[in-house]
Amino acid sequence: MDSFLDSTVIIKYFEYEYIKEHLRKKCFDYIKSSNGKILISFIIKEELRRAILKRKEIYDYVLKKRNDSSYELDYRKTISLNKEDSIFAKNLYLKLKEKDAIKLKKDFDSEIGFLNVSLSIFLKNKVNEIAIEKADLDSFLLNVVHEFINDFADCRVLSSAIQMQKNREGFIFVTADKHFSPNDYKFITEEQRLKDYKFPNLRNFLYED
Amino acid sequence: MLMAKKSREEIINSVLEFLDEKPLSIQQLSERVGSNWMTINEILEELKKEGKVKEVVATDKIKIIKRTDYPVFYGIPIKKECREQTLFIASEIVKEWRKKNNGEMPLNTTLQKVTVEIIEKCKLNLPVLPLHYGLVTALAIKPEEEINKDYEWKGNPEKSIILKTINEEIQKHKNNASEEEDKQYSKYGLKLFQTRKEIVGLFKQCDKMDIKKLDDSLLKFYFLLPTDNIDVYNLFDKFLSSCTILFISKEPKKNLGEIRETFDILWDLITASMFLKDAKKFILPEDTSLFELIKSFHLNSKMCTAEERVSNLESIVKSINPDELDVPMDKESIEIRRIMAEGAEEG
Repeated sequence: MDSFLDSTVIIKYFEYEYIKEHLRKKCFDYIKSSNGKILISFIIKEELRRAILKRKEIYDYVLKKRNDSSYELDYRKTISLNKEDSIFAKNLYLKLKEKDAIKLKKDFDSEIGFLNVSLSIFLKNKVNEIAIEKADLDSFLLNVVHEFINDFADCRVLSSAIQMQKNREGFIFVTADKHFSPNDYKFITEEQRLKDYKFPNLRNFLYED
Repeated sequence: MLMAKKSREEIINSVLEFLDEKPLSIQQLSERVGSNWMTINEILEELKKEGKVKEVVATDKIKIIKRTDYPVFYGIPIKKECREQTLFIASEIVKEWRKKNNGEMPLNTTLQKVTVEIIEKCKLNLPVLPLHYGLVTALAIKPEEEINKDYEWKGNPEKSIILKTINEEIQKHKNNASEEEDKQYSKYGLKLFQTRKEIVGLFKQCDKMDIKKLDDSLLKFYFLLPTDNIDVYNLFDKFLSSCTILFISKEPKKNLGEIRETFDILWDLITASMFLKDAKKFILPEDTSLFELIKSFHLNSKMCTAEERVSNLESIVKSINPDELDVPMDKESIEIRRIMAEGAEEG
């Protein structure tokens, strides 16, 4: 069966290279052994780039703060960070402020570089189809989904998956995001206003043993 | 009252005289000389062919022209008095140097370094600015052109004090560019320049070079980089990120040529940016817009070239297979990535 991959699964697939733990192994094994087509939407592609950029912006903050302790992070001036990310970034700085700055920079760059290179190769070699442009998102669907899921980025991901499912064989929406719990997903699929939409099957590795 | 029409020769002389003050646009020259734009443009084309003037800025909208012998780096408008004082010092240094060294000519670098010392020691309000090889005057001084020139000293302190300082200072210098650079970098704490020299030295070792040393030096350089020009800083950051990946790839030395060339282009951009930033305080208020025009023209064109080179490196990086990357796997590195990965999940 074909699989529509959420960005969380793809990032974990990359991370398995250096974080050998259960959830990442599941994501890695799933993608590695998948026989069907791998599908993503342009929203997912954007989310992947945003996820890497987010890390880069957090690392940049840590390094700038290391250089100049008076430097303050204003998340509104960043491209991808929100208030929660800025709190995380500040905590990360506190954890790392005693570490060797040169080593930190090297570690950060190698990680971001690895993720960027992995993403390019993944898009080139693993993904069979990218569809649903941002501008083509179904606004009705998006609004209804938003009533169930708070995070707007997640709404766009799910909407794009549902739109991609239209007029094709059923595929699996594969994720490792806590916002797509099986229960919540079931509620959405049972929503009357969405009765004409075809839903992919959900597989969320976070809720599997 | 009717004014006599100027002859072509008079206009040419007038154009060259105005350009002796500072670079000017065709429009500014036309207003100052009192001839129409077309005539001035024609004359400038002629003077260009004769090698007497050249363009400092050439865009679709405006052209800024300078005399070929206008000696200021990047053609920025530094007032004549400042230029003449600097040239006075330089020409006296050349004369004194030759007297003390059996007619030997000082190297450009030596002349610049000694001139900077005199400016600093005599506390003169003359521009001393960072450029490719350290602190220099605002002028591109050619020692061989200064031998027979006599400039008048009009400033403070007295001429005799300047000459005495030159006499004493010369004895402390050698006609060796590299040694002169090292001495200045160390005296003024120019760590960025020291590190750059270290990097250039490593590049010269070609295949024998220790990649780890190069990686460390580039990182050190990054931490010393001024952050006031954020575009330049970010571009260097992109360059460094690409280098880090290339250095942990299977063939870390494969793209050293490209890395070296990109580094040189970035260095040119970095020093131009530093030079032009520091030069601003020596610009007269009436020349501010002219200076800003020249500054943005140079920085934009250097930025474009550097961006293209960095983007080439990024393309090379994208073609690497991630499985072939030797990502640091020590305990500490993994721990940082784990913290990040878990934090990213929460966001």
